[in-house]
This record gives sequence, C-alpha cells and structure tokens, in this order.
Amino acid sequence: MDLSNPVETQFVINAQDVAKQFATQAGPIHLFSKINLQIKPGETVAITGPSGAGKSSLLSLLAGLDEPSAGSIALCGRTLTELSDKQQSAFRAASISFVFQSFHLLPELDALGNVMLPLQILGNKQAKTIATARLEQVGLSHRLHHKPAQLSGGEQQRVAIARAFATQPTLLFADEPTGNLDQHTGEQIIEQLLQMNASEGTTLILITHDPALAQRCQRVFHLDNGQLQEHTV
Amino acid sequence: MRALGALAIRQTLAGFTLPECRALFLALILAIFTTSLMAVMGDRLDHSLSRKGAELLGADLILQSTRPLHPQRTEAAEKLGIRHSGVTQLATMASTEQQFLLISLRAAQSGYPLRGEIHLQPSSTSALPATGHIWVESAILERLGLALGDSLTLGERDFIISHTLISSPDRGRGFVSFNPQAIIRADDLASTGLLLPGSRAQYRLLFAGEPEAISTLQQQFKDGLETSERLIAIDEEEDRRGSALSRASAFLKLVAFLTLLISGLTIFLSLRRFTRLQNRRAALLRTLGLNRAQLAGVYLLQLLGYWFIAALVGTLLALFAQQGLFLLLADMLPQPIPPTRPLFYLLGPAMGGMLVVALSLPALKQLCRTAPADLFHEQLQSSGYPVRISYLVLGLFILLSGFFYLNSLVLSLLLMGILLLSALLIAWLGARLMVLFGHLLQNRLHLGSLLQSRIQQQQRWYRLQIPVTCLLLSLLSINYLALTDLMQRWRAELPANTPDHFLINVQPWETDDVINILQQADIGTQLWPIYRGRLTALNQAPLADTLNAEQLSHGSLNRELNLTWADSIPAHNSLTQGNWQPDQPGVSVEEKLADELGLKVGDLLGFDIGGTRVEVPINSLRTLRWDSFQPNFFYIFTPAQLNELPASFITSFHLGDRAGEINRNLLQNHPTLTLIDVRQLLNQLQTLLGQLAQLSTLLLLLAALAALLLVYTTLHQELEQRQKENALLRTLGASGTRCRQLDLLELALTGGCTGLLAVAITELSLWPVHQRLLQLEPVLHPTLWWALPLGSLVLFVTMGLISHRSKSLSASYRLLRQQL
Ligand SMILES: Nc1ncnc2c1ncn2[C@@H]1O[C@H](COP(=O)(O)OP(=O)(O)O)[C@@H](O)[C@H]1O
Ligand SMILES: [Mg+2]
Repeated sequence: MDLSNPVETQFVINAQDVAKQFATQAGPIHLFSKINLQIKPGETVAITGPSGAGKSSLLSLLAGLDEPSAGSIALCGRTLTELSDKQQSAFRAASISFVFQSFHLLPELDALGNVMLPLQILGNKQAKTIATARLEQVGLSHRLHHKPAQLSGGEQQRVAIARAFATQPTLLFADEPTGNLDQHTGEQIIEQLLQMNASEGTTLILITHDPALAQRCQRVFHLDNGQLQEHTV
Repeated sequence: MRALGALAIRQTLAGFTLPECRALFLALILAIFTTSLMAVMGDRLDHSLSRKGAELLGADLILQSTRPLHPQRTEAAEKLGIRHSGVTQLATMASTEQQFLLISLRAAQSGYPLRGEIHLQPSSTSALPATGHIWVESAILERLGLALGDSLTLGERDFIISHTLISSPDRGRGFVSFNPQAIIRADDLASTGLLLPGSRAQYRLLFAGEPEAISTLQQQFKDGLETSERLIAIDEEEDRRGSALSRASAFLKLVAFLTLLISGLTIFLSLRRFTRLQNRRAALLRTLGLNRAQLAGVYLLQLLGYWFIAALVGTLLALFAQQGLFLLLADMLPQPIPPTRPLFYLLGPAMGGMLVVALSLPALKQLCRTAPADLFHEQLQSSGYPVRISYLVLGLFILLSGFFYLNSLVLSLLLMGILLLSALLIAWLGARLMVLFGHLLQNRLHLGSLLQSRIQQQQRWYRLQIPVTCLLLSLLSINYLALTDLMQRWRAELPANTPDHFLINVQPWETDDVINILQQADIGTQLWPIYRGRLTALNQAPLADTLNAEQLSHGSLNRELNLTWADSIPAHNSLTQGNWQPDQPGVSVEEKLADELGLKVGDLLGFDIGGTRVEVPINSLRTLRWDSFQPNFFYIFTPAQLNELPASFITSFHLGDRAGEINRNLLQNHPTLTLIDVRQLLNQLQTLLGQLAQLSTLLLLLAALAALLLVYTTLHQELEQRQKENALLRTLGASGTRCRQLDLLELALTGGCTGLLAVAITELSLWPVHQRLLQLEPVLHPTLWWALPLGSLVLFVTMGLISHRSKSLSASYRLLRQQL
C-alpha cells in the first residue's frame, strides 16, 4: 500500500460518533461522545472552547495519535487505528504535521537541522534545499544556523511552522500555536500558517481560544460540555 | 537510515549537556574503569602473589621423595616445556677442629631455585656456590665461632665459607628445615661421602612454568604418585602463608564484586532517570513520523554511543591507573611483575555493554510506547520506567556476577536475598525515621514546619536514596572492619614476641638448668614434656574394628605422635566441647582430628607409649592455632596419666637479636639440645602479610571511591530535580536563603538517618562474620556509632552545597523552561 499518496475521498477527515473517556483513579472522565466532523481537503478549521473542554484530546484523536473510546475516524479515507505501527508512522511522516504550543524543537539541532529532520526521516535527498526554502518562506533565512535557545519564541514557532510544512503534509494540526506568544507575534504566526496553508493547499486544524484568530479560519467549531458545535459565519 | 544514525549521533553529543546523560556517561566510565581495573589488577596481583608464594616455595610445584627421583619425572616436565631443577637436602654434622653442629645441607643443581632468590652477604650474583665453596646461615657461624673465609668440614671434604646465607626459598619441610642451613653445589655432594645408601635425605625436584602446564604436570604426578613421594604445590599449601593468601584473594574478590554491584546500581539509576526524562522527545519524534522500531534504534544507538566513548575512556583510565598502581606497588611485589593479559581489559567494556543493553531494553520498549498525544498536554508527564523488569535484570546481573566472583550460586542467591530484604527494610525504616525526626523538629526550629511538609512530600525519594546510600556505607564499613579484623588477626598470628626458636630434646635432668639459663636472660617459658606414642584402641577395641578404611589411613595413626600432659589447656588453645578436669584421668583432643576420626567426648582412647598401654577417656575437644609458633599437640593428657613414662621436653621462645649469645650459652652447657631457629621463616611471613594488608586497603579505597561516585550520582540527580522545585518556589516568592537552608537541613537529616541505619546494618552483619568467619568474639565498634552518621551527614550536606553553588537563579529558571 502506498501511503504517501492519500486515497482520493471527499473528506480528508471523517469522524463518526467519536467518544472519548479516560479512566482515572478518581473514576472515568467522559470528555465527549457522539462527535461528528467532516473536513474537506484544503479547509481551514478552528476549534475553540474553554480550557479543559477536551480540545487537545479531540485533536490527538483526529490526528490518529490516540484511539477513540467509541466511533471511528478516517484520515484521507483510511482508519489509522487499523494500520500497523509502521504503516501509521509512515503515513504520519508523509502526510501529517503538527505545531505545538511550546514549539518542541530539538534543542541540539539548529533551525535548519530541525526543519530538515522530517525530510530526512522520509529519506528525502533534497532535505537541505527544501528546508532552506521553507525557512526563507517564514522569514528566517538569516537564522538558519541558530539553535532554538538562541531564537525568540516567535522565531522558534516559525521554525516549527517551517518544519511542519517541509514535507508538504496533507494535514496540519496546530494546538494553540500562539499560546506562548504575545498578541502581535501570535497574529504574525497565524498569518504565516494561513499563508502557507493557502500556498500548499494543506488542510489546517487549529485550536485556539482567541476568537479573533478563530474568525480567520473558514470554519469555526466550539467544544464545550462534550458538545461540538459549528459556528456559521 | 543514515538520517537516523546522524540523529542518534547528534543526540549522543547533545546529551553531554543534559545532567542525566552526563550521569549515565560518568557512571558507565566508572563501571568500566573499575571493572577493568579490578580485573586486570586482580589478575596481575593474583599472579604476583601466587608467584610470591612460589618464591617461598622456590618453585611452582615440587616433587619430594625419600629416594632419588626417577628421570622419567623430569622428562615429563620437559615434554610440557616446564623448567626444572633439583636439590638434595639432608641433615648432617658440620665440624671444625673443635666443634660439631647439626646442620641442614642442600646440594643444589643449576637453576636452583626456580622462583625467588637466594640472598647472600656479601651479595653475589652467582647462582650456585663455586666448587669447594659453601654458603652458610649466620647461625652456623655464630655457633661454631667461624667467619667468612674459614673452612668447614662436611664428611670427608673441607669447604670454604664464601658467603653468609641471608635468606633462601625452599628451606625444606619438616625436621630437616629447622637446622641452620647451608648450600653447596650438587656436584660437590658425592665427594663428601655423606650420601650413603640408607642415609636419610630428601630429594626434591622443582618445577616452574605456565600455570596450565604446571597443573597438567601436577595431575600426571598425582596419578602416579609413589608412597615415598609427595607433591607440594602453592595452592595446596595448607600452611600459614597459604591461608593468608587465600583469605586475601577472597577479600579482593569480595571488593571486586562490591565495586561491580555499585557500578551496576549507578548505571541502573542513571538509565532510569534518562528514560524517564526522554518521553517528550520520544513523543515528538513519533509525531515526526518515526515508528517504534526506528525510535528504539535511535535511542539504542545513543546509549551505545555513550557506552563506546565510556569504554574508550574507561579502558584508557584503567590502563594508566594500573600502570601507576603497579609502579607504586613495585617495592612490595616480586619483580618482574607478570605482564597484563589484554583480555582482562575487555571485561569492563563487555560488562558495561551488557548492563546498558540489558537495563535499557525494557526501558526503551516503554519509551517507544510513549503516547505522542502527551505532547498536547503541557504538564510534564514522565514516562514510567519498567521497574519490575529492570529489577529483574539487575537481580540477574547481581546473581551472575556474584556467581562469577564468589563461585557459589547459593551464596550469591543468599546475598541477593539479603540485599533485597535489607533494601526494603531500610527504605521503610528510613522514611519512618525521617518522619519521626521531622515531627521532633517541627516546633524546635524556625524552619520546622516547612521541613515537616518537605519530609512528607519527599517520602518517595527517601525510599530510594536512603537504602542505596545506607547499603553502600554498610558494605564499605563491613569490608573495612573485616579488613581491620583480618589485619589484626594477621598481626596476632605473628606478634612481635612470636617465638622464633624451638628447643627440643631437653632431657628431664636438664630442665631446671635450661629454665635457669632462660630466666637469666629474662625469657619466661614453659617446658612441655613429650612422649612419643600412637593411638591404638578406641573404646577398648582395636582401631581396625572401629574405624573405616579412610579413617584408618589418617596420617596421625601411621606415625608416632608427640603426646604431652598439662595442668591446664595452653592459652592458644580453646575448648569447644567437654570440660578440662585436671584431677580426673582424661585427654583433650584437637577438634579437627577428633572429627576426622569420629572421636567424641567420653570415648575411651588406648595409646601405646613406648610399649606401655595407657587408657583414658576423652574429656574435651579443643581447637588450636597451628600457626602460633607454639608447641601444639593433638592429644593433651591430664596430669598423673603419664608420670612414670620417660619423656623429653620441648619449648619455644622469642630470642630476636640475642640469639647468638643465648644459643652459645645453652649449647655449651647442654650439647645434646637441639635449637631450631625459625627467624628467617618468620621474617618472610611477616613481610608478606604486611604487603597483603596494604594491598587490600588500597583496593578497598578504590571501591570506596566508586561508592562515593554512586552516592554523588544519585544525590546529584535528586538535587538537580530539586533545582526545578526550588526555582518554582522562588518564583512564588520564597527567598533563596530559605530554600537553601531548608534543603541543607533536610539533607543533613537524611544523611544522619542514613548513617544511623548503616551503623545498625554494619553491626548486625558483622556479628555473624565475626562469629562464623573470623571466629572472634563479636564486638561493637563504638567509633562507628558516631563516625558513620556524621560522615554521611557531611557527605549529604557537601553535595548539597556543591549542587547549590552550581546553579544560579537564571540557570534554574532555564531548567524550568527546558522541554526536550
Ligand atoms: N491521558 C489522560 N488521562 C486522564 N485524563 C486526561 C488525559 N488526557 C487528558 N485528560 C483530561 O481530559 C481533560 C481535557 O483535557 P484537554 O484535552 O487537554 O483539554 P483542553 O485542551 O481543551 O484544555 C482534562 O481534564 C485532562 O485532565
Ligand atoms: Mg489543550
């Protein structure tokens, strides 16, 4: 099965009756049940909601990093949880990228190294050229050889964005990418994400609790009390 | 895959800036270094020491006979590439114009001795006396009033005394070795006419060569041993030196085992921390598309990277350290020191590699199961370390190395069980003790309540740190005390006034005068009557009817023994069974002999003493020290049992430097006395024992260093963790000084508790060690009671101070922010 070429389907994400609960020592936590979500290729989607509502949990389900307690999720037409670890990983490497609130760059690698890493994992021979181009795209051509510790928060996040787009993923998941940044920098970062999304045709799933940022996405969902509701603009 | 390799390499290098990787790396170096060093040192020392034994013996193997040895014997040795030489030793009269003296003459062939050296005065390099020359011990010169250059008559031939014999290996065995010694060339022996058919001489063949060849030869000889022949090998020597050597090598092995245990534990703890702190990174790499196998590969490569560098560094260090140590020890060891066997350098890296792989595999498996989803949650969840499997691996490792070093599965199992149980017990006790102290201090210190809550929070840490440190301290102090006891025992075996002369053949009418002469020279002594006799009956039946075949062949039954009587049991004997009742007919029997012959208290023994039959019941069993240089007896009768029988007397005493004068005095008045000089033997022994003690101390110091590093590693890991908490506390407004005081207070308390528990463990473990192994009355060690807790307290506080100094606020704040 060739995992690098996604199966042609109408929905890039198709979640059906998804439920999630955690068993904890204090008893089970029911985050949500019966969540349905269909997203088409190239769409930009924002998910908002109060802290603790389960946004991050939903995101990791949608990205196939976690298994739902009930229901099914298909990414690009295939159910990830039915695949072997190897196949899942290969699919992730080729088609899914993440941007996190706290950047998560490898501290020992410089900006270029961090962006090259996913390409190298894919065995891409042009890793360096592509990574350099990506960093230029996010305006960091003068920071190629700086280590994360030498970069500001905004710059680190831009490196993370360059890394996320390096492999031309089908899906990009961003969990509060501006949460650790001041408002101005945050807006720039969102701008960057949307720009890249527009130029690459990547589907973007963005978690934020800034309504203004959410409004810049095509579709906005609100998760609260276990209910996911779409706001029609 | 090149990308993954490169990633692993970068990760390895980057790891050097992370505290837990640094700890792991240092621990590995330490483990590899100490294991290799111990292996190489142990091997070379063992080699050296057994050579030292060989040098007292003069060979690696000796075949001794009362008849000339068959040439086949030397041919067998030549086939195996073993060097050989021969010597004939006999007791004979040496004479001057005025005097006679019984001496022990050795006629040596070329190459003699094969191990060790003959020391002469004036010093000489010639291997054998020149033809017509003789080397004699100073006792011969003293007693016969001779000087170098004078001539001495042996049988039909005169010899020129060319050198004084200061010391020589292979003094011979038994009676012949007690007389003053002289050496001539073997080719000169015939011309003396001393060696007539029927003359009592010892013929010895000496062999030296590779250990494997020697043991082959030994086996060959053993299989075809004639009744007149006896094999003497270093490792079969049951004498003082033998037991001192084996005790020393057992001690070395124990120390090596201890070091290995410590290293293993260090690696285990560092690895645990390393994998615990890697989960975020692992999760990230998973989101970037690495599958589990690839992730495991990257981490395994990283760990192997540390192992590889540590192996290089550790081996190099071991190489230099052992060179240095042997340079330091050069004076103490026989030269040349045998070369290092390179194979032993591989032991450390092999052990380290095995440990890393075995201990990290379960952890890596766990790491690879890291849920990438964790990355979305900001609170740091450390991945669990698969504790159970790792403990299993660690236990297996202890068991294996225990088996390797102690040569006994049962013993190492027992040891492991004891270690485990004690660790659990100490963990529980330590945590309780901390709570108790926290409670006591709560209202007495201004930091009391903060301390109290800190202690409540840190229970988990105490349950790890306290048992680890406590066991280390206990093991070290047990070893240290065992070593001091060992040394004391060695010293006690040969105190300064150890008798260095035996006087035998004292006739009953000479006893008063002999005692007089000795008393005038301020030498107090006891004369023991000697009766020559043998055991012939047990419970009124001949031995043949009551003993089995093996018992009947017992050495003590086939020759005449020296029997004696006494009012009381000698001081260097101790009763183990029965009672000594001097007014009742009875005999006290040496315990080991009684055991071998199946004799019990109450048995009626029949002796044949010069034709007279004597029957007495066994009243007691006793142990004695053959190495006491005192007259020793298998059988001691109560008074009045042997009164009417003819006896001669024996005694031993210390003469030291006054030997010449008193010898002359005694022998001039009583020419038939035999005075046996054992000073040379004694000196050789004292030197050897002193060196063994120094070596053991040195190795113990190395183990202590390893232990210190382990405690440092564990403590440092915790303190680094503490920095994060303190950084948090400080951002909440607690003053730096307050944090610091609280930390130090807690550390002092932890150190003190650990030390206290270690004292208890040490004393409890030494009890059986003393009773069973060293056969000493168990004693408490009062110094330990304050030294150990104080030392441990100082250790903890010092580490705390070091750790505090190394972190500024901004650095610890950065620590807080560190995510990957
Ligand atoms: N692995 C887990 N086990 C138990 N509880 C979890 C786990 N992951 C998340 N939770 C809980 O689920 C709830 C929702 O978490 P999260 O998805 O992070 O919410 P949000 O991102 O909307 O703030 C929280 O109360 C969190 O504690
Ligand atoms: Mg969240």
